[in-house]
Amino acid sequence: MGLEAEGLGKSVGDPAVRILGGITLSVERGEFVALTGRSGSGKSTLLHILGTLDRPSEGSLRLDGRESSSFSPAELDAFRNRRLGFVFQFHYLIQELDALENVLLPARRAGEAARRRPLAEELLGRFGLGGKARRLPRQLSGGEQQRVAIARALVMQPQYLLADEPTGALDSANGTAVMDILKEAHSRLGAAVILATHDPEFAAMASRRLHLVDGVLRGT
Amino acid sequence: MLRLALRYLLARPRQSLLMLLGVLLGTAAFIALSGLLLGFKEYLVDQLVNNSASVIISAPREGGTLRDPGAWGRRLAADPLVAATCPQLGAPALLSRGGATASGVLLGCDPAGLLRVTRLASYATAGSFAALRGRELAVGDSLASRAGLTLGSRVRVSCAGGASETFRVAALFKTGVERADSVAYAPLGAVQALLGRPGAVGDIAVRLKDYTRADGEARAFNRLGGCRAESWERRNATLISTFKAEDMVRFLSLGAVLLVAGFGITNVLHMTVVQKRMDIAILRSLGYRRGDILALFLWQGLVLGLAGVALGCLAGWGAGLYLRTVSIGGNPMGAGTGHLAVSLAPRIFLEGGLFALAAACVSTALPAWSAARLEPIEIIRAGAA
Repeated sequence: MGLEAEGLGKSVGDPAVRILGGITLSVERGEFVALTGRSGSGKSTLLHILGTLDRPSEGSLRLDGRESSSFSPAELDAFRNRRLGFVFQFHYLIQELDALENVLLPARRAGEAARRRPLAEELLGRFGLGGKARRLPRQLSGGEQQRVAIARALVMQPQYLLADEPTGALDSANGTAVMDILKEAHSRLGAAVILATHDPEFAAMASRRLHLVDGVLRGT
Repeated sequence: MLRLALRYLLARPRQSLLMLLGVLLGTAAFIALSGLLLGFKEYLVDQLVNNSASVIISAPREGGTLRDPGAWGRRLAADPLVAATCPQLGAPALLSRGGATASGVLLGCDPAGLLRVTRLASYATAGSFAALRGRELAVGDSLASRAGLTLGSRVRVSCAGGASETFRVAALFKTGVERADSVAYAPLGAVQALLGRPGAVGDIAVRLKDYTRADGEARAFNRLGGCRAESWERRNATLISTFKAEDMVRFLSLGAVLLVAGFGITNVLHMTVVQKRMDIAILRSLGYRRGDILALFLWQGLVLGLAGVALGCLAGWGAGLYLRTVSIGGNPMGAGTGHLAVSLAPRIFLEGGLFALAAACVSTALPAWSAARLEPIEIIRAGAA
């Protein structure tokens, strides 16, 4: 079980440019893995592929023991909905919905909005947004918006949390707060966290480090 | 996705209102225009069908008399499609009173029979058709005013050939159709006597139980021979063909308005899709399917369409009610009531509503489809760069 990649690679454009190659790794349930490397080293692309948003051009990816290429589009959508949580560098909240509705978006797709509402409210409360659940994104600060986005990623209690530079757009105080939340999600929800970051301090919090250089893994 | 679709619409009130207005105006304009045209058509058909006979059986030659009217009477009485008949004898006549003389048509008929064949009685403005007996006349409005006649007037009626007789005006009527209002009705016997042709019948007016079968029935009479039978449709063929043109005008105008409204919807929603690319990518990354994205935008079109149609129907209904109060005096279109005849038949609302709704859905389909086809990863990659 877990996410297992074997010989994973990605080429884009014409003529093809290889931006990722020969990636072999496995992330077990409950692990906290830091993915480091300079910007442009392929961290985001690897994360997108592991999160089934992007397709590899070579190699294979197994999701909980099953070959990803054997999933139908609907099965991939369902996998992302129930098993995966994404946190991006920018929060990407829907501006027309308030904080609580944004958090409940994945639950609404799963038809569990009512059932997961207490959890959504609890997450917002724990992230210091208890009194702001009914505010629209533009009425929240950048750090608050990112915390709403993390609550949204956690509301389905996913097995994997993929975070792509979640502190990149935040000041250090907000960044530290977000990191504390990720650590707590990891320890309390038991989700495997894969954190892409170029901040060595944050990377040090992980139980394992993977370092990408020009699309290739170097050491652990 | 309906909830989010509504939020999107409410977040851009001005654009949503404009799209709504397009559908609303299209529907309302169609309903008002259709109401006018169909009202006019209904009025005319009503006039044609009810103020004259479904079928008129005449002598083979113009101005001649029908051979053996008694046999026709028995044949028609036995015909299951026939509701009522009225034998008539007509001739051009001059009506003179004092210094005034006016020309019109003197039509001898069985007054009771005539009332069963046409609805002339309901156009009586004074006196009564049914009571017509002896040398009494029911005079149309136009003829009466030209000859200066009022109820109870005595008038000299002269026919070609010099025969003349004094009649009393026992009833007046006004249908609003000049030709019909230039007729003076009298009992058949009195006209036969005046013309010196006792027992003669020029034509027989026939009312069918179902006026739409007039054409077939007229052909059947013609096959019997010895007569010339014409249905109301044949007698008014040019008018009937203009109704078809009117239908085309109605739907072309509806199509033109909805085309403009539809382009508006397509444009605005295309813009929304571009603006909401990131939302689409996020929803997809959260596990929403292509179908959900499609629904998100289709709902917007459907909501706009339904709201626009509902308001458009209301506006069209209001416009119709208002047009009904527009006075147009003596114009034939307004005869009877003196107001525009406007139809508010459910059929108009149904047609307008369905077409407008379909237009809204079709114009939503393209942007919705392009939104559903977006690849989330490309948007996210572009957003991050």
